[in-house]
Amino acid sequence: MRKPALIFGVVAATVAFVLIVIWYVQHRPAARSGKSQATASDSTGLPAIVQTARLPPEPDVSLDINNKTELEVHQGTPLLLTIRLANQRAANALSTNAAREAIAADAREQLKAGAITAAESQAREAFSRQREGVPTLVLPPDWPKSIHVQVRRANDPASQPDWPVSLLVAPAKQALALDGTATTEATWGLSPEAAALLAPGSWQLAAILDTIADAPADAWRGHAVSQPVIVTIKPRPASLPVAEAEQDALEVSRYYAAAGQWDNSLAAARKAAALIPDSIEAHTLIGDALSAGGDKRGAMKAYQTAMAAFQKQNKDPRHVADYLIERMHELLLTAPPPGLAPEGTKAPPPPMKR
Amino acid sequence: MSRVLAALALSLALAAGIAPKSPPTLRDDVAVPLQDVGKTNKPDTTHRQARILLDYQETRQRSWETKSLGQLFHFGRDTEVRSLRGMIVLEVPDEDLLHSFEVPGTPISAPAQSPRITGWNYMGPSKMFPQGNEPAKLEVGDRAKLVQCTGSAEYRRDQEYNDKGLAEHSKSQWRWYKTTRNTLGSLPLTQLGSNTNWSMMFNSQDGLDFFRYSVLPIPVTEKEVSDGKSSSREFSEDVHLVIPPLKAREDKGWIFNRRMDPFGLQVSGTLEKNLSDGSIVHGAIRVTVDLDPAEYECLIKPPDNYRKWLPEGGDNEEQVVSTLQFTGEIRCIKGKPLPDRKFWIEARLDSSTQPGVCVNFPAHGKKTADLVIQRQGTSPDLELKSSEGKGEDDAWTKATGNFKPGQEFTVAVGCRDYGAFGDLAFNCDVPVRIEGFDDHRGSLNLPFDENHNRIADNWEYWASIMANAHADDDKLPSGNGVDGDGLSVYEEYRGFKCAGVHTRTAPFYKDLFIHDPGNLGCGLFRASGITVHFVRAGEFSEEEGAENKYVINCNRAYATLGQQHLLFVRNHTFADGSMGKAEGPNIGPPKETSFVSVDVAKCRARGPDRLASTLAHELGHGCNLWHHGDANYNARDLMFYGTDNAWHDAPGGAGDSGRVVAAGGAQCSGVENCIMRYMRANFYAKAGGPWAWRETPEGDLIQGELYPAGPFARTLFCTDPKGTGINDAGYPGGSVAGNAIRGNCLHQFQVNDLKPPKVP
Repeated sequence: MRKPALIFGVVAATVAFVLIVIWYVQHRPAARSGKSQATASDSTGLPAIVQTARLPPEPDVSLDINNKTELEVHQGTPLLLTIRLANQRAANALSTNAAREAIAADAREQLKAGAITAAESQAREAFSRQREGVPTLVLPPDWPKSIHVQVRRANDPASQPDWPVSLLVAPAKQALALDGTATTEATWGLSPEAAALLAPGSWQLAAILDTIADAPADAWRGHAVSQPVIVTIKPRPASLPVAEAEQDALEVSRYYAAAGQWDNSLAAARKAAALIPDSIEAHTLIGDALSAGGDKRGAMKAYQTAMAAFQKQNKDPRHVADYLIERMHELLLTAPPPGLAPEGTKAPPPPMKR
Repeated sequence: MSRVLAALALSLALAAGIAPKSPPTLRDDVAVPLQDVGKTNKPDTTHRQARILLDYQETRQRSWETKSLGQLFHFGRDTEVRSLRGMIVLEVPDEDLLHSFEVPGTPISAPAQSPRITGWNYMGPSKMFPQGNEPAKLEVGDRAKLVQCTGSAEYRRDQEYNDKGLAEHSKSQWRWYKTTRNTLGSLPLTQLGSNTNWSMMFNSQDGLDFFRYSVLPIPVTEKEVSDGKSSSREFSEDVHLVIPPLKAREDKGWIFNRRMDPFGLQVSGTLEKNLSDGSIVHGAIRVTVDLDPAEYECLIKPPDNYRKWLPEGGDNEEQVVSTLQFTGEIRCIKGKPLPDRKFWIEARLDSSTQPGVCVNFPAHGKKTADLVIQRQGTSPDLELKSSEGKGEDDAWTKATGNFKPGQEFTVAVGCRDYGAFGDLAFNCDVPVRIEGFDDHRGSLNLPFDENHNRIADNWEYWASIMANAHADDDKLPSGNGVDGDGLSVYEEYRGFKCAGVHTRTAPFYKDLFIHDPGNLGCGLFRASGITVHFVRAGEFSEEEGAENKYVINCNRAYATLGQQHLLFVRNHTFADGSMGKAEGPNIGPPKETSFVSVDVAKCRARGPDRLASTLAHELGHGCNLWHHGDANYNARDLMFYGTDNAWHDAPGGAGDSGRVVAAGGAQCSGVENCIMRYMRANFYAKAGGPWAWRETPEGDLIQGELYPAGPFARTLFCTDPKGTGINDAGYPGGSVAGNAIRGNCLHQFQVNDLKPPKVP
């Protein structure tokens, strides 16, 4: 009697052990997720969100001169050199990650709607957890000091004169993390007087951000160069054709506007408007200068003139002079015509004559 | 020590009655052992050897052979023995002794009638044979060893041939020679067939123990070789012959008239072929013969990561950044391997030749082999050849070599393209088996691709699709219901260089590529849900074919659907009072927009966030988004109601005032914070308002108010035309511009250039 009981006991224990093992295999997290246990990380059983930055951060440096990347000017035409820094790698990573979050959300919705199976939903969620590392880049404080504008004669790279550019518009924030959403810019200028001394010829300019020597420990340290900008400087003739003279005057006006020298800007814009009376840009700049100088009625009048010219010249109804509309609206709000009934006045219908 | 050669030639005259008139034919294999023909009286008998020249006639040839004492002399079936004659040479340290014999007629007809080689005539010092002048007798069961084989024979055969490819038929006589070579590998050859068929007669010996002898047809392909001045024809062939077992051998007509080694041998040699025009063709032949071969297999082991491996590219089409190393080995799986047996192995890699290294980089990339067998990592004994530079659409690399069983070889496959695909086939003298695959395949897809769509299955698993490579079914975000982003699944898998980083895009999520050399960003465009990828110069191309010249899939090749365009964002001074434009004659997918231009200075002047919303607005136009409605209109004959309770002409208001009224359902209508809504007008119609104007010169005066001051945060793309905020019907005093005519901007997006746009 003892021996059968012993055998029974051994068999029962073995069966129980096997059942426990089977239960464990079926219920362990890796089994639920269908993935290896090593990658399971949270209560969903899905693999951990993995972020991999495949290349180190690298600032994108851009340079444009008078809003162009290739331009022809005369000696004496002022130059505005705008340098912008961005982090396109980080921007791409953010966008990719946002899409993956959306994929996961969509998978959950589709599962709820019965459009896909649980396995498909889980596969997509697993896919969505493969994230790109966002290579954020911290710029050193006062990064414009780390900027160097390299000037080379196009056909003689050895000729590298220094152009006396000066910082006109500092960046809004001195220290900044380029995280894929933020960009920063600063503008350097070369005054008409300085530009008059530039040697004629074709020049290749590039902006160089070099923080190797003086970046603090937490800031990006490296060397990045913009795409080159080609500037062709022509000798200034005794007199320019009207259209060129107007453009030249507009550049002068923009330069002084950027420098905050509104009187000079206004004078140049008026010169341009005198050359081409229906120049939308000239009247816009006049409006801007007058507005900045506090002459809101004058500004309104200038914007109206510009708008009238726009109406005359614009053939595409899709195009809207939104800048002018908004400037005028601003002036209407801040400088209404004298005697306008106060807000809330219930006005009677206007006379129907005219 | 000088050697004394006693060479005595005796004619044997055997009894006349022994020779039959018509020689019989053997009905079965017969081994004729030669007995010890005698003993030297020299003390060192260990060096004694016998040299026997045998002359016999078979159905195919005559030959003289030398055997050493103790070696079996084997006649095959169908051997017609006319006579046997020969000499026995006893080689001893001091002297060679020669005995000759002749067995006329046919002493061999059946095992029971195996020959007795008798009647030796001995001419020589009698001291060599202590028994006197009696020559040794060869009896059935006697054994003799073959030392070497020597002699020559003439063989006459009627043979049609055509050396020059001319329709010329003649009968000619062929001569083959069998020369004495004491080293393994000698190969006398004979020309027996037509100009493309050679027959070989070879013999060899390995020490004293092996003798192999056969006549085999060898296919030889000649090729023209020219050095620019003259040309000649050459051939070079590696031939591996597996000799079937004896029975099958006979059935197939193999002729072996001598016992062969049980394992086989390898011999090589050169040959000259005299053509009828007097020219000579030179060639080399290496023949491997397996007689009753052992069973071998060529086992290929893919690398551990083979099933998960994804192809990768480098910075240019030549750079190899990813390598797969396959190892292989010839294994004897049955029987005894031949010690010096080598097997011919070929690994042939057929590769795609997609331009560039991925879909967009380098722009207008070169077509090179995407997968190559690399020298580094491949066994030095494997000779590499490739079609690189031959301008073929499909490139190949071959690695060939000969390896002994147990000798491992490696084949390293380098990858130069993120979308590379190919086929790595192994050919060998013996069956190929690939570890991990039980389907007897001799080749592997690269990358691992069981559904043969040229996309790595691992990526398909990872991206949770198993797709048609040509499909373009991206459904997210839904946009205007036009699926896809103009890029096939294969292109999304092959991926893009975006700001220097390679990215395989999601095949079910729409992608938009932006080139932004001015670092303006995409502002609030991410609210579209479309995946945005910034690409740098050199990561796209300029091509004709659409308003937009900038093509992102510039290296499109396999499974492409056509040109897909990026959006080129730039800073631009607008001298017409506007802040941004999607430049192009039509609203539609990206191909319709030549540039997305924004005037950064004007945007900055309007506030810190204005650039972001303007960029998103114009990018929206570049993806088929329309304004909420048609244009607003200008206020004519503008008047205002004064504090004096009277209407006055507004300054500059006569005629077209240049100031804009937000029309109902027009550009300012709809969801207040939609990016596509125009933020501001100057006025809007409202009963009892202190302003009045006409829409047309003849129209009635319309009363209204200044447009609300805001601020208006444009942060999203609306999903409903219904007005919200200032456009809500419940806005105090009534909706400013009402519901949008179009609206629902989020569902107007279309990035797919290859399908006609839907106009909302």
